[in-house]
This record gives sequence, structure tokens and C-alpha cells, in this order.
Amino acid sequence: MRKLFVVLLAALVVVLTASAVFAAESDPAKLNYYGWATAGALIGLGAAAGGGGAGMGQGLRGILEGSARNPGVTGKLMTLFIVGLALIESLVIYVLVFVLITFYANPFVK
Amino acid sequence: MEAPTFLHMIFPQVPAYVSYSWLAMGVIIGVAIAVKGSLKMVPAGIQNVVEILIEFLRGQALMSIGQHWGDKFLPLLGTLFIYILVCNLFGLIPGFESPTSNVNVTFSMAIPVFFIYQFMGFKVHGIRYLEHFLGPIRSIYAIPFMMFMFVVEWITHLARPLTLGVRLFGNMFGKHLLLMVLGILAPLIVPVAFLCLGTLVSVLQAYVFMLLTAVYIAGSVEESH
Repeated sequence: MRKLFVVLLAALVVVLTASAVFAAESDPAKLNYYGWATAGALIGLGAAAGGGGAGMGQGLRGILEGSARNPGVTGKLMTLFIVGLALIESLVIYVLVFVLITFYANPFVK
Repeated sequence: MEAPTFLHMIFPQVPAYVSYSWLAMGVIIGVAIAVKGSLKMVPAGIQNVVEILIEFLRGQALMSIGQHWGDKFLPLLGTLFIYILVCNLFGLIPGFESPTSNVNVTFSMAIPVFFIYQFMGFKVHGIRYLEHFLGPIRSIYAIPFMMFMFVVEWITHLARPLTLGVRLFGNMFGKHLLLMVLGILAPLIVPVAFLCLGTLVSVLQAYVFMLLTAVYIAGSVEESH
């Protein structure tokens, strides 16, 4: 009984969230919009993550070389490095925000 | 999208981000009053934590803004840091919502920061504060360049509150979204790793917001070059 309840609850959660994401559309224009939006989101987020990863890799190389030459400054460098990572990561997050806008705020679909 | 939260069930007509931001203010004020009521020469208990936090914030303020203006802006920076930190950490408690995962809350902190640092620039330098916007060259022949730099600098300055607000919102909302998707895919062990990551991101974004505010204020109160 308890197991059945848990399964039903999980199914309910999945159904509720799915209906929010894929709001059942029969209009072909909206379906077309979401198709292009999904493709753009995947490609754009991939490119953003790639660029961010390249930038973070440069930063990581710098801090590794610096602390290999002078192990005393590793603590200081680490703090700056983490802050820099947060700033680089925020660029990727901007793309995520735009993706969310195209999905949920729907500027072109009423 | 929206998970049900406790305060939203108690006050259904108040949006969750408003009620949880009031709860965050209540928590902070309660801790502050509790510490103030039992101040000791030799700190014990929660007074240790608060003293470490304040010393860290004061060190950051003095390092970023400078000896002269650091103490004046410590209340602003400390308030921003502690409030954002508490709001972010609310998002990690099940049944709570972090108010900073809503655009209204983050922009209500980012836009006052913009006005504060511009106002302090005008207050400290007077009308000569506008020289900050004119670029590095001062010459009668460089007037077209200076006009161009004026426009570009204003675009930079107007982008600052936008990026401050969107950065905090995007990080918090993205973390929520990731946790929600992982909760559907693998509800058992996997989300723990991402909760640790979420704790790191929460502290880091509060720190970055405070640090960027300090950098902007430092840029406006320092002498133009």
C-alpha cells in the first residue's frame, strides 16, 4: 500500500512537471517554435560551456604554474582563482538565462 | 516548476519569494539581537562566528575600497553579503525557497548598488566625477575621442547592475533547475554531490556580489586618472 502510494506520488510529480515543461500544444506554429528553441538551446549552451571551459582551463594552468614555482602563494591564488571561476561561470549562466527566457517567457509565442 | 513551500501554504496570497525574504530578514535580525544582548569580552558560542564574519567582511572592505572609505561602506557590503548568503542557503533546505532565485529580489539589490556608487562618485568629486567617463586622454584635439569614450563608459556602467542581478538570479535558478531535474532522474544518492556544489555556489555568489559592489564603489570614489 505504502509502496503503491510512493509510486503514485512519483508519477504525479513527473506528470505535473512534464505538463509544465511540454505544455500540451496542438498548434503547429508553437511546436515549430519549441523545436527550434530546443535546438538553439542545446547548441548555444554547448558553445557557452566550451568557451567557459577553455577560459577556466587557462586560469587553472596559470594557478598551477604559479604555485609550482612558489608554493607559498597557493592559498592566495586559490581564493582569486575561485572568484575568477565564478565570474567566468556567470557568462555560461547568462546563456542559460536567455535559454530559459526563450522557453518560459515566450517572446515570440503568445 | 514551483515546488510547494511551507510559508506559501501558510500565506497563500503572499508570493513565496517575498515571505522567505522576510523570514531571512527575521533570522538575521534575531541573531543580531541575540548576539548584541550577550556581548562578552571573551567571546563564546555564536559570538565567535559573528566576530569571524565581521572581521572577514571588514578585511575585504578595507582591502578593496581602501583605508579611507572602507569603514564607511562596511555596513552596506556586510548587509548585502549576509542577506544574500542567508537567502541563498534557504534554497538548500527542502520545503524552503531561496528568494534570490527570483529576478525581483536580485534586481532590488543590484539597482540600489548602481545608484549608491554613482551618487558617491558625484558626492566625492562633484561635477569632476564626469572625468571618470572621458577615457585616458585629455587634449583639445581628442574631444571626439572623449565624446565616444563617454558613450562607451556609460554603456559599461549601465551593464553593471544588469549583470549583477542576472548573475545571482541565474546561478540560483540554475541550481534549483539542476536539482529538480536530478531529483526526477535519480532521486537517491546523486543529488547530494550537487547539493555540495550548490553550497559552494551559494557562498561564492554572495561573496562575488559583495566584491563587485566594493570594486564599483572603489572605482567611483578614487581619483580619476
